[in-house]
Amino acid sequence: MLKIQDLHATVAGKEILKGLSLEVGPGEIHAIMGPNGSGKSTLANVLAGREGYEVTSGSVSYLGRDLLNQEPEERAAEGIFLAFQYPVEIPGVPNLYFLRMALNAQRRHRGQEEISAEDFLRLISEKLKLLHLDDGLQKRAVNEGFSGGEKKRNEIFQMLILEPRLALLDETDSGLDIDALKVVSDGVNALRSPDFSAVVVTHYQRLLDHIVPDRVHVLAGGRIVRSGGRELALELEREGYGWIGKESGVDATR
Amino acid sequence: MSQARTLAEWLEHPPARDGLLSTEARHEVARLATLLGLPGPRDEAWRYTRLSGLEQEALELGVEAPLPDEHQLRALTPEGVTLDRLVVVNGRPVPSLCQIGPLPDGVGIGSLSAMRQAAREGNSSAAQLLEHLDLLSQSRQRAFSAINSALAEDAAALWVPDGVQLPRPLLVLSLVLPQAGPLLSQPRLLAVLGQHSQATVLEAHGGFGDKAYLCNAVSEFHVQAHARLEHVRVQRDSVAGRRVSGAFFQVMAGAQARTHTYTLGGRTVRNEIRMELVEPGASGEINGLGLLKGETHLDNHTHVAHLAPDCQSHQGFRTILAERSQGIFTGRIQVAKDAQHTDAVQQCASMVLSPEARAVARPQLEILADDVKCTHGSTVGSLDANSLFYLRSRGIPGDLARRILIHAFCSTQLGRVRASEMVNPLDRLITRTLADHA
Repeated sequence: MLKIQDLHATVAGKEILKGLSLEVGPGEIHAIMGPNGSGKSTLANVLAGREGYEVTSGSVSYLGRDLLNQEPEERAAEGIFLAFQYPVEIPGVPNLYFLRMALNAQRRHRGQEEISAEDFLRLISEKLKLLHLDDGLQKRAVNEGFSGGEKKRNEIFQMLILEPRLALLDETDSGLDIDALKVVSDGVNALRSPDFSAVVVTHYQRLLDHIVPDRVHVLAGGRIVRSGGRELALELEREGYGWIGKESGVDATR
Repeated sequence: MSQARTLAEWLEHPPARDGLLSTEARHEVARLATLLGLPGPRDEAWRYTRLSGLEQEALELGVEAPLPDEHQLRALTPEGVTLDRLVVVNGRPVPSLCQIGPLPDGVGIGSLSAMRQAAREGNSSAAQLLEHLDLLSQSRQRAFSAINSALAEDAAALWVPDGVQLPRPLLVLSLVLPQAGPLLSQPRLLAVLGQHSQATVLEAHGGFGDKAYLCNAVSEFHVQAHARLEHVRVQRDSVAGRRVSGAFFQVMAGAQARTHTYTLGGRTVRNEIRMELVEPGASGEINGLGLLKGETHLDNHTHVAHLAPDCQSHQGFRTILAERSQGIFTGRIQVAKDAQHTDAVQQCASMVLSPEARAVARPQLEILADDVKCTHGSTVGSLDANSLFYLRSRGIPGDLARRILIHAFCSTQLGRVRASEMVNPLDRLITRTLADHA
């Protein structure tokens, strides 16, 4: 599904990713953990195609095609969804209008018919129910005046509506109380299927109690320095990242 | 016969017949207009706007105007809302094109000349309406008001008696149809809202063809005690069209006047909007939206005069600037010495979409009372890159995402229109206009 090979990327002229390789198969959930500044968010943004993140070498193939030469909207229509670390407030654009535009743009890209107003509203109420959200927020402008937790829930809600094949969660769990955390994990678990993969970037093991990953990777100094099963997350929780420097020759404490 | 003369020549020899004013009065105002002269480079209020070459230009008054075709009428008519309609061509109301439904007793809608006839026949409200003519336009100081008073042939007029609510919005469709050469069009509107009355007035101005013209429009609104006026003005001039507009509002005790000016085109447009809050408890709102591209130059001037205690005002202007357009906003808040407890807000925001476009904002506060709340703010920005990426990351193509964000920037202005039946038609108009911008 996703194959990253020896990826190097710079932000504002500074190299952040320094030879990152990662392979995510269909139906798999991978957790990426690591200290601050190790490149976790950069990886998520490079995959989603954000401007200002420049890939200097390496390759990324998604569904067998080169991802890096695709526009952000093409990537989205091909099934990539980035849950933002800092979701953007967009005054003047109602949430539901935005979601319908997004869904229909993706459908058009895939050669499908636009969704009818009726089906769209049915879809909305079904997914709201699934996440135990009330519809108050959806009547407002995109993320405008939302609390941190509400913004993150809204990301997950959007994800359920757009039904991606590859979700990138960029520290979606940070700053969330246990109820909001539950919304995030319920959202991801609802999509779990042999056709759905996710890369979950997180600082904390606690999200992984709810979203059980197939693989856990430690990102440090712009590279994956260790990979393992879910027990690796528990080990990191216990021991922190201090060992990284010794083990891999990367200074993770700076 | 249509004649072309320079403005100075027209003012020296105004048409020798009754027009907006009597033959005698128009000659007097014409002399005044000549004395005032056109604003020049040293005139601070006209610093950003030049009507260069106007003095030398031979202009027709367009008295023998052709009738507009259906397409032209439809182009300026908001869809999906039932309205009463007055049609004005080159400044002159055309009775055969007016469509007025049943009205409550005493409401007067029509041409000023018809009102004058009615007054002669003993209609007292028509006589009262006429007494309000040219009281607010400042034609003793403002050259373009004096020119309009001297050369306008007629006016559109609205009289709403005390306690009456206008059943439908009044649409004043004002078209500029240049004929052989450059045209001077002088539409005029006089509206008087009696005490405790209510009215929604939509002025839709448009210019057609590729010939140059100057439209010098003057509107006067008397909003008497506890009356409510919602005034929307849409201006869609042709690329060769120049417009100088003056809108003047007098708001009495406890009354509310809200005005919205949407400028959607033209070569050079200068809007002057003046609102006087004369008695305690009056409130006023001046909003504006400019969707500019090409070479359009828009100069908005507002003046809110707080002349009595306990009045509120709000000014909100937003402008989208594409290509080589320019948008200037000068907003003045004046608070007189005894206008205590004034609450005045002014906001101006510009979204600049091209490196060649230019936005200027100049707030001017003149506060002589001490117990007042006055705030103002202005921002100039471009499309927000984070918002754009957010929309694109959800699958919305870049050009559509840009349009959505530009529309969102405009939509806060729509939110200020209280006449709910006008919101959707205005929204469609904006959406159509923006289709060319992103």
